[in-house]
Amino acid sequence: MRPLKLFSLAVALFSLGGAAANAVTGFNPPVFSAFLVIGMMALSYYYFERWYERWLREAERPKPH
Amino acid sequence: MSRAEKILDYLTTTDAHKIGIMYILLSIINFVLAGFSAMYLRLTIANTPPSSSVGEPFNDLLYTWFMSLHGLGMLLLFAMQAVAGAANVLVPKLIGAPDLYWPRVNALSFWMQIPATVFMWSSLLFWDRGDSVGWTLYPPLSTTSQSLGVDLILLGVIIGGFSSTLTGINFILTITRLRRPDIKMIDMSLFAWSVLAASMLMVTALPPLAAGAIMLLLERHLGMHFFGVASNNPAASGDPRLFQHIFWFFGHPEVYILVLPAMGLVSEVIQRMARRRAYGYTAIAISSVAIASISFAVWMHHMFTAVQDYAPRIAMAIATMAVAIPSGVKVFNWVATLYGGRISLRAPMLFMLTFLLFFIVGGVTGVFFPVVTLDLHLQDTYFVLGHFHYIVNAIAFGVFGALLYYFPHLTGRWYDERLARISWALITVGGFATYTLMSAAGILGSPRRYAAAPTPDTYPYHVAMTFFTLILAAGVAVLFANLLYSYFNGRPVANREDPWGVAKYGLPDIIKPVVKPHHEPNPWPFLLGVGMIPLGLGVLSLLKGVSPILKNYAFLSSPAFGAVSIGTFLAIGVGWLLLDQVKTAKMLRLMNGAAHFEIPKPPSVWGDLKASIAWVIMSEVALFGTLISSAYYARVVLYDGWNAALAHLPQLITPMSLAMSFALWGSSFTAMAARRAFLSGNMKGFYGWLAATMALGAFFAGGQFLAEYPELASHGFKYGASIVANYFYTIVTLHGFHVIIGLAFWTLVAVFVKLGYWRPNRPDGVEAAEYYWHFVDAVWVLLFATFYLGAINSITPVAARA
Repeated sequence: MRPLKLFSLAVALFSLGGAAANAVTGFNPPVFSAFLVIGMMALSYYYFERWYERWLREAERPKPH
Repeated sequence: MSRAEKILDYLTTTDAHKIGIMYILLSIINFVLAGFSAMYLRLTIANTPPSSSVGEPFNDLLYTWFMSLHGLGMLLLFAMQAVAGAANVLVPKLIGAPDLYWPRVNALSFWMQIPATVFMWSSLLFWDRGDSVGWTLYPPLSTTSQSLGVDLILLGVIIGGFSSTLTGINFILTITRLRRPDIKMIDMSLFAWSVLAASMLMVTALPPLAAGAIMLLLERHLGMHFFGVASNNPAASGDPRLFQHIFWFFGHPEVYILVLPAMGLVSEVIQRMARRRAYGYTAIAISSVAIASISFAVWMHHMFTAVQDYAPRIAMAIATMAVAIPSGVKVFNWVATLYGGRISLRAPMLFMLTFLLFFIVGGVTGVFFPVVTLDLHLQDTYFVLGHFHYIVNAIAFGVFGALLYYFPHLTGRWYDERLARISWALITVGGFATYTLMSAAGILGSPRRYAAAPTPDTYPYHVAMTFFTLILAAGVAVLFANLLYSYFNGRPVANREDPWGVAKYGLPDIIKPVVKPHHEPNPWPFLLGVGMIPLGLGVLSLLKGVSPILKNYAFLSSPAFGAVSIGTFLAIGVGWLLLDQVKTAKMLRLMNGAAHFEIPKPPSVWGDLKASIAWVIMSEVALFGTLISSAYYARVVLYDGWNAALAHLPQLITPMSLAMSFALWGSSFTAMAARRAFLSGNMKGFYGWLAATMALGAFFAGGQFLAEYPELASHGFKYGASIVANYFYTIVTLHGFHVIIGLAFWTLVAVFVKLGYWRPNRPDGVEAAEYYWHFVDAVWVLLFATFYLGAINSITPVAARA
């Protein structure tokens, strides 16, 4: 796993976990939204890294269809 | 080809190269107009000593209009069009694509920029009828201004935003699906990478702006107070900060929509002028995507003075500082590319190196803003202007440098090198001095947007800024004069395909596509695009009867004009469908599907169908997401007003609303059955299930608009009556329109299936319609839970709990 993928996943899990924890224990909208925005940002980059790994694999073994 | 034929050729072209050239020409026109606006601002300030009012021949109200249009014209018109133009000309050539994925939609995107441009600049005709609003369109000015110019600006913003969203989807599909199959994503042009990242931003950031602009129009003309205060009625009042959130959720990604492609151009030209491949290709490529990701988590740094909760401030401050990392990665790699290269210091390279200078200074001045305490001090001062003018001028350097680099390819003639260097020197000196003076005046406390220096000690700075702006303008004039002169008299280019002789370094300017492109002329995008001018005026005419603002404008003749212009626009759309699309479908059926999407394709994470419909749905998610989030925001921030509104809320869950909802959700299953029948070749079953789907959808839309709305209105639950009603009617009606769009989609699919265009072995259209239908149904789940089940009403802010 590429370090950036790991890092963004860790940030995403931490932040979305923070948002979930806040929602469960005394929901505070500003704190919730702050965690949510950072979590979604990291998740979007994690998702891109998954594409990127796929592109790397495709570059090694070209399989046009 | 005679001149008339040439003009007709450009009016009907679907060739990305020609469309790109038209984009660039339009962007230059907008640059000149927005530049003249800037000159008016600087001359007004220089001619207005501190403590005195603006005197003849200048006018303070006109100053505010030029101030707004300088920003709107430079960012939403010039820069967007220049970036789209460069991408149209270069992306297909750099990735070996025959054209853009949807050439006709690409032409439509361009022609929609014409009404956007015309509407924005014609707002100046109404400058003396009310306040202008700045490029940020903030309420309450934008909701209370009596000038029709504000409406024209909003129409321009909506049409331009829609055009750019389509452009974004088109480029994502072109880059991922029309690339020459032997070019891998991780070996693709860096410009294409940056356009890919910017396109993702266009698809997700521009729909929120359209949502915000529509909310402003609703507030101005129908009295739905999303942002303003309704007199003596807290239950029907909104919150002005909401617009700031919506605007900057678009506004910050917008900066990256513009700077990322400029960075891509810098990457391309620096490689070719340093005669070596980019150092750290991977880092440059993926840092574009990192910047794009981060850009959605920084918007509140534009409004730290308006948002006082510590948690969002800290989150946004951290994310904003994080932008420096991928930006720094890019700058490092560009500099490392220069190291050891055989650098040719021709004019395009000088422009690109100056991009680096301006970008670094602009970036460093930008890092001041996430420091909240400092930001509170610098908010709305000239320091902000200094910072972002460094960046936007860097974008202009990237675009103009690329224009010079590709000028020989585009025109077949060389520009004049000496004049180009003179223009570079003038722009660099004029720009850098102006923005540095801006930063200094800002630190001294000069507020932005004022038509005069606030104190005598800052006045010399402003006079000097005006002087250096004149030098900057002279540089731009020399640049454009050079290009115009060279177009007619420049030295002919020996080899237009490789004028700079860089192919031998493994960096060809043009990669030939596998399939020779064939561009079919088509007049409909032009007609539909330009038809949006009467359409916009027609919509305003229809609103004249209910709007307190529009009734003062006699030239918006009557609702009849509105009906005629909207009817004409729809007729053009139907004409395009019948005379062009159906004809094409029949032709393709005869050719057994030899369409561009059946050429050899690169491998991809998603196939054509999923990729296209997913990005279309993504833009819709952004649109609905903005409105639904706004409703939740209003619930939390306007807690007491919302509760007061709830006291008059009629029963939303009725047998009718339940029947409608279950009909819509049930239609997802009939749609699935229709697709399955289609795939198995059971046409009778397909038409049967399709009829059931459409009947259920029609029952939903009809029930909503003809039964539920009048019923709710009879209980006093009307738009404008309360904040809950405003959000309910806006979002639910938007969803209702989407059901109607879905029905139209199914009708088209049925026609095309009947024509034999979509067949069981090529079912993309049917599957796309099904995915879209599921999306519309899924949104209704969210809306039903939010409004009907009252999920939104269960949220209580912390302050209210104590």
